[in-house]
Amino acid sequence: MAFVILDGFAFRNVQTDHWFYDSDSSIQQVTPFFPWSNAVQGIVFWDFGAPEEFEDVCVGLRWQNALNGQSPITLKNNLSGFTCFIGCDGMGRFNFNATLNGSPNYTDTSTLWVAANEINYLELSVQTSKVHIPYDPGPPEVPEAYKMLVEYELRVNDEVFLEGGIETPQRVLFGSGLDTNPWISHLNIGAVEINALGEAAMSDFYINTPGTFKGDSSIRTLYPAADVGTDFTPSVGTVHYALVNDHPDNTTTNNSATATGQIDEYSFDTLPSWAGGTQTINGIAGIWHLGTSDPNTGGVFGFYNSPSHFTPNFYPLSDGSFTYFFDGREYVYGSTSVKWTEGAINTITLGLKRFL
Amino acid sequence: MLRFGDSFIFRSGSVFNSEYYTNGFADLAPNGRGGDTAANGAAFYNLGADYNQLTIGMGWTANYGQSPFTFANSAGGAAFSCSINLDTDGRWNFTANNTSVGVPSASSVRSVRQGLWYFVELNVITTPIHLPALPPIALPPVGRADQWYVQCDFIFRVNGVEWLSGRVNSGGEQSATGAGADGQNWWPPSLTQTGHLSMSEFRAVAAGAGLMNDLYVTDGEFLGDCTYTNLYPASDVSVSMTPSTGSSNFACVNTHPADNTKYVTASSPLSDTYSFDPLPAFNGDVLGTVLAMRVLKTDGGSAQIKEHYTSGMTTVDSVNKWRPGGGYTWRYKIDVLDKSPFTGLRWTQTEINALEAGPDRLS
Repeated sequence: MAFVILDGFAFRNVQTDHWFYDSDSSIQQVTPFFPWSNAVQGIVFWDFGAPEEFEDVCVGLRWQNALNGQSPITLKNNLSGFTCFIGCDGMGRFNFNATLNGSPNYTDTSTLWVAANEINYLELSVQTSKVHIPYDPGPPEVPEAYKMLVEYELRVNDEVFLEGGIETPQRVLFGSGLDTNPWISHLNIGAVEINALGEAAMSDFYINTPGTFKGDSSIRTLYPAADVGTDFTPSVGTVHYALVNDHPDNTTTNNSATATGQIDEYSFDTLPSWAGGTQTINGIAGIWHLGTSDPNTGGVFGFYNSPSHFTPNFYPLSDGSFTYFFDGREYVYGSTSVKWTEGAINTITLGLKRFL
Repeated sequence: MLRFGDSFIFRSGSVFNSEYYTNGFADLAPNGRGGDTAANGAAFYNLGADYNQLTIGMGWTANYGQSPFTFANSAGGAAFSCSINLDTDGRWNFTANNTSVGVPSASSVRSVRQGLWYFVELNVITTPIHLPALPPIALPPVGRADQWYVQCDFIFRVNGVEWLSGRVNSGGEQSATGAGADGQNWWPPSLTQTGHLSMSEFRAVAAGAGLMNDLYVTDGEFLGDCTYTNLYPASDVSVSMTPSTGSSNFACVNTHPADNTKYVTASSPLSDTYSFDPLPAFNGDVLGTVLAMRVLKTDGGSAQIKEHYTSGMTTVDSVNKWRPGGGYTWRYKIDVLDKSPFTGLRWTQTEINALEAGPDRLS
């Protein structure tokens, strides 16, 4: 199980900071739902980026509805045309929609509903499977086609509002085989879009796969608070962490690795206590904002606590722009079952090593 | 059975007007019936279930050209609605709509005067009617699409007197429109689901210079000209939640309109029980109770709440349990009873005066 993404919308300047979500995103910050987080309005669209496609995901989102017929959570794959989403009607009821081609099929609306402007925690679990309709010469002739079976469950504040299965309309196969019909291999989930338009707002966003409900969750953002390793060259002064803990981010203050093998490592703010005593920590996400001024060279990887706990390799864009890189961890490094503790988070360090 | 009630008194309508209405507004205004506070605006509410019979009543100042009551069902793509309408001469008629408006009822013989207070009540029974498709015939080549309309039997009372009644059919809607052709349109009944040609929402409107108060909704029973009396927590009986200020829990939750700076907090499963103001003496029956609490969740994590009623040594849970949303949105959660949960009979004034109640955090 892995987090694909976690975002509390707190660390970026969403209006000016171009972020690691794809284009078509347009959001602005609004009054936060909680003192420690930010809330945003607008559209966030994020393509996972092939080959990152999934058949089993769960999306969590704190969402303030504006009761104007919005679709807070959409899962899609633009390469195949698959789209599924939950809709919220003018009386605060939800339904689930799915399409592969043309108008979506949709479920009946939920009996349970949410009130106007209420802030609720939505979680949508979706599992997809593709269904092949073979060619039949007939009569009547049946063309070869595919449709998708989508199993869904929507929870609001941990309560099940909708669940079941629905089939998409068919998409007819034209041509002869996978090479000429690449969409067949993309009958799954390749992107997510979350919406909070008009007076709506959203925060505390997660996606994991295989999809597991994490419940009403809050995301706390911790920033570098002290230097541990300082091989990099600071853009100004001698204190490294202070150049990478500004929020919203300021890319004019940074630390540079001028040679392979160099490491920068930082410890972090203390995790604030929260009401309700000890709660479950569902996971962490390390985030690095990286750019390279050396075209076509420069590869780095992040790490936790020591250089042996690696993230995947990151390759910053060579055009000089900065990009966010992300690594989500539900369990402590190396474990598939041991959850993070407050103590472990309060002693964590994150770093970066240049290897290329 | 009582399904919903609102006195429009305990909230600040102008500030907290959407805290349990699905959509709409209700600004408080003085000079209600009997000196109560009244509301001005439109209150839309989703009852959370489909009903084939509902009755709605409220005090209302006559406002020519307006429709004080509308029942509707917009679930699953349904377009059914029906309403009682006041024309510009002060007479009433009833209309029903299912995409297209059917023939309205005749107007009432009696009329009301603009700006005066009346207690108006509307009872509606809906019956969906199916017109099967007919194939075209040779001459003329005209067929008929499969369609549904809704038969509405209604009774409208003013100050307890029946002014208008009868049967009105809505206009028809073709069931093959929209996504219906592939079986994904849920509004007409089918072999697998009950459809939504019924009532699940209401709108109570007193727009412009109009006023309204003492709103009730039942699943059929006329309650007649009735009024709400609001009772607020008056003392602590048994409390374990933490007051935001001082040491008296009840004093933090009896402000009206609510004061967001005063509240009690439960960071784990805890319960408070309060006694309430005495019910002023009156002649008549207690037709029901609405136990309201205003809640806010300030952290992530699962939280479920309920209310409880206590009489002597007996405690009964509210019918509903809720999982409040987070953030800064205070919400009213209401539990509606038309009879005492302790006796199964009408509440008595003595029983109300001895009643204790309060909130519980379950998880």
